[in-house]
Amino acid sequence: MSLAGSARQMAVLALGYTISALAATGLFGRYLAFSAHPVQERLIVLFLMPVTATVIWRVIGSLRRHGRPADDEASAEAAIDGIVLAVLVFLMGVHLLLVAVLVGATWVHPWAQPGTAVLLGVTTVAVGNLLPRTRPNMAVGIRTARTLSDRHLWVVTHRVSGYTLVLSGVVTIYAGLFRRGADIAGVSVTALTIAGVWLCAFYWKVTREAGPHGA
Amino acid sequence: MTSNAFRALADGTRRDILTLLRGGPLTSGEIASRFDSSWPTISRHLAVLREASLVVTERSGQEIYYELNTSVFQDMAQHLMTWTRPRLKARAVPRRVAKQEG
Repeated sequence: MSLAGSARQMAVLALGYTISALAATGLFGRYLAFSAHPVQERLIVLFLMPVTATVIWRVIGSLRRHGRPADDEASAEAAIDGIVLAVLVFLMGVHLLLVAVLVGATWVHPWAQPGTAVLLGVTTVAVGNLLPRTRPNMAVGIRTARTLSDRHLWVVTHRVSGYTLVLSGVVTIYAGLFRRGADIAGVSVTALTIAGVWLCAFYWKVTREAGPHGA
Repeated sequence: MTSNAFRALADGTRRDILTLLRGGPLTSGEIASRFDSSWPTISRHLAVLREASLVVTERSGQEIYYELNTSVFQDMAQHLMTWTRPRLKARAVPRRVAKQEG
């Protein structure tokens, strides 16, 4: 993990905790939709997303230490940094929307669902864009025994995965911007499901062509 | 995408090298053998591509393999440039001829 990448990720997490803290204290706390509930309940709801994001960040950080070193590791490391940052920005973006709804910012309500879809789409595009630059590692990507042991298979699989995710991300952004109501979830989920099924089929095809594992 | 990447993608030979590397990693000798240019010229192109992080190297025994390292957007930019450049060239040629005639 690069120093700049780590600093950016920590800044996003810090922003998430700041939003939670502001919503928990007197500044915005009195507007909370469930301000009459016990304090533990309020804290669990308000800090759930930042804590989840921190756990994901720590787990990925820990897994990255077990990666196989490559000649040109910096580029792959930067790609993983970017992917982790995109996921954290997504979680904190959803968190921001959630807190805004909880403190009663009524103007956010109509935007909450399309906003989440757009955020999901942008994150999917960002992750898909960087996926072809990753190399076999334990933290990010399609980590099977085959892809981890065969660098070429990893590269091919993640290049196709990248294109697929970018495409499904664009469809999800479209759904968030131009569809309304249940259509948003319908189009997004359909796009992501088709992407998942296509990737499974592609992976099955390339592993069959590559021959039996360890041959 | 950095300006380094755009500069690297602006050259036709470098785009051809990236297209060639889609088939899998190759050594600089193998890449040079597919082009009319000399090995030092191809080597310079590879250095530019590597500096822009569009390719990475992987050592395998004595050999150094060059491997494609483009992002999806960089791939799209490469395709876009490949499609538009011939048209730009085609448009530029008559202008040059017209200048000489004038």
